[in-house]
Amino acid sequence: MWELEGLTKSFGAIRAVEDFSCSLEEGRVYGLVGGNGAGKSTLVKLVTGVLKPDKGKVLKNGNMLAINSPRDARKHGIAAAYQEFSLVPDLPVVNNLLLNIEPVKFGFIDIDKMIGKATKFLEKLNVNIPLSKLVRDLSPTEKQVIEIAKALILEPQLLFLDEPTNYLSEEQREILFKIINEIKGGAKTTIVFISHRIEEVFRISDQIIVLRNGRLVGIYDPKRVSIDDVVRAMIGELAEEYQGYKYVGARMEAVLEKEKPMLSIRSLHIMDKVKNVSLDVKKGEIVGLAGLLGQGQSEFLRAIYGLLPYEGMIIIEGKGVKITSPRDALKHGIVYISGDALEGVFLLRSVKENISLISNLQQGLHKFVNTKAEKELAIKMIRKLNIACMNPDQPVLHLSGGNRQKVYLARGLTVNPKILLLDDPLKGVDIRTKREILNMVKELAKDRAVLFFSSDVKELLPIANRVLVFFEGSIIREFTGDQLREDLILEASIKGA
Amino acid sequence: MKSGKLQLIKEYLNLRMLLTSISFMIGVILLNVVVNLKTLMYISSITLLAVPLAFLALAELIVFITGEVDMSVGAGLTLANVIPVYAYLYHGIEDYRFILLHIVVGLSIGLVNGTLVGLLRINSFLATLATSSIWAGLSLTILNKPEGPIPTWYYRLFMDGLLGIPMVIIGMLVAISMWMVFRFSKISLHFYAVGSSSYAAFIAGINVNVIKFTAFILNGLFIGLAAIFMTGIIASGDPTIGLPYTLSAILAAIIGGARFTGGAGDGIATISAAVGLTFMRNLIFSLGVPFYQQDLVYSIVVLALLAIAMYLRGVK
Repeated sequence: MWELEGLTKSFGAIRAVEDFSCSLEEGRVYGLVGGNGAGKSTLVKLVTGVLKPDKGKVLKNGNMLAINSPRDARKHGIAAAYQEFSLVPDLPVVNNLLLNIEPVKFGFIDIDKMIGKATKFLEKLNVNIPLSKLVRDLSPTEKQVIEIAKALILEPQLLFLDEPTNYLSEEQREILFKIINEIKGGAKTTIVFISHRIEEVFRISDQIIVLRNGRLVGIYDPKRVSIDDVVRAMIGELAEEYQGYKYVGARMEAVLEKEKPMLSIRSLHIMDKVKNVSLDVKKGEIVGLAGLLGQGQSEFLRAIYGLLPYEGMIIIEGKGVKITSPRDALKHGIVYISGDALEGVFLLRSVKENISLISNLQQGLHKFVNTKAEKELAIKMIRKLNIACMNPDQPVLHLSGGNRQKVYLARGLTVNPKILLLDDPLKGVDIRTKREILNMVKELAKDRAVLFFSSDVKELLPIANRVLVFFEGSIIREFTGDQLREDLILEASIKGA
Repeated sequence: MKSGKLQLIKEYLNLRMLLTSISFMIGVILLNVVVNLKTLMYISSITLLAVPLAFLALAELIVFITGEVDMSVGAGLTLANVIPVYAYLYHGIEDYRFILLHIVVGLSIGLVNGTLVGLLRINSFLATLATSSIWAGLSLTILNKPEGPIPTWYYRLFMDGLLGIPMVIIGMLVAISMWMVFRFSKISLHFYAVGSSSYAAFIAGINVNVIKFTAFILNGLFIGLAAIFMTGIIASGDPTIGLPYTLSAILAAIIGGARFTGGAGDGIATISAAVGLTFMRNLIFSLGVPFYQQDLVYSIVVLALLAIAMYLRGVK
């Protein structure tokens, strides 16, 4: 019997997990579900010692465990397969499987025993990966299998599987489910299973734990409730915070009908992340991209900006273009802004320099910077976007997260883009700034095409003309007009249909 | 089953890297012979000169594997050479303790660097650049000019060999076997793991800081061994001897497959790279490059080699 008591973790102002308590019985499988930012992965890391909780404790059969690192968690029989993998790329498969539990003979690695153990284990899992192959050379599917096997080989008493089926084929999934049932029955292992595939969670779980905004909503018996009940629990009651907005999409649709598409995408493929995505965006249109995190939305936008290789066609104002780098994209009037301001701004440089970077570059590297024009441009953008800074020479480092994001956006706007790609740009931004930026995006969209991915549907609703839902790399639904409702979109995102 | 084991041992021995490095070594030796046939007669004495560099390169490699760097190996070598000679000259320490002192100084150097990097978490480039100046300064304080002699028995050891076995063979055997022991011990896997992904190593319950600390202790041991051979070869204490060795040691490790980002590199390949580089220096000498330009030419060749090594890696 495992008990989690009052686990709490904040990152800055964001409460990732708040006062989470529940008990987990031996030999049972617990599905852990929740929407974007519900705190699932954080919760796993709190128990496995990767992150230290601000408050709360973990008990095993009534005894409090001191877990300060993954090493402690291991000692207490806790293991996990992580969503983002925890493999060593430069070691062979066998040494990843047995990392830190290598068999030793006379002080040396016992190679025979090591190979024997790993072979036997992988045979049980019905996988055929050469043991001496370096992990860096494995495919994502193989890496996923090794990540899971690495946790299983420890024979843990409490096992977390965070999105273990992401890269698995149909048969491999069946094998995993068989193994889960085996160890829960045989070794009486407690298993916490996280997946974005809700039917899967229903199939394998004895109990389903629902998280929302870092809090426990409830624990449900999958035999007694329907998928819809759980989905409703994940969505919760709709937030009031955006009620100041009126829906504008419908009014704009009439105008838009005449317009030709500014940006067209035809059957775009990106490795195994995005499958056959096609869409059109007209001038004056904001197309919202929704869905759970990691369903290919970011990759999709990054590919259009030349950050990822793709197959398929990108058509701008009727002309097919090939984009292989951000330089190409900028040339075609495409600007990309991500939610990670650290990726886009130079913290130690001034607001002024950050804003005028691209326009300075466009004037040519051989010219001196026209400091007067640079300053004027900066002041213009600071006013336009209402950036809170002391003066244009202040380093961006001293600005708040929301204002850094605005600086990032301001730079993008200096090139007067035709097409604006926003990749979850309001992540971690306070509500007032969020509203300001949303207003700005709406304003900007008047003579531009905007693709706006948000992990929080509430950001899309007030400004998007339509919303496309991504699931496992494809667009599965489109919402327009009266259908633009948070509950409907979230339901489609979670169910994948 | 059997083939699986063979494959794994091949992976551990890093055959591809080894082959590149050994061909580099043989290539340079052949060039030497072509330029000056008499080199054949001196092969073993030139190789003896390579022994200190081989140990020093191993010292560098071992920290490279964990993702750190040591800018102080050359100065460390000097200190571990100067202190025992000083102890002999002014305090009459001349028995086995004379040899032991080299190792003690080496280990102390490793302890300081390891504490700064592994335990206090100071960036290794900065920390060792600073300690490099400290070792160099200490060396000059202890001996402000090259001084000798060294104990006669020790000097004779390098002339006549140990029980008739030349010191060059003993040196190379020690270097190779120490690497093999390391490579087939469990700890080497943890070294590579930490250098390749410290996060994954942490998740597996490995104490990343302790591994980095241990790497510097082993690094110190190798520095001590390098000094043992250096003292025997130059038969004196020289407060400036080690300076140019840092760059050569780094280069030998890089040719041996090491990366600045960690997680890679092979010892045997590094040792043969050290031999190759020593013959490279000899080649420059044989070609009649004037003394004051030798460092210049050597450094240019070293940079060219570095560029080639990086290019070959990119091709893979």
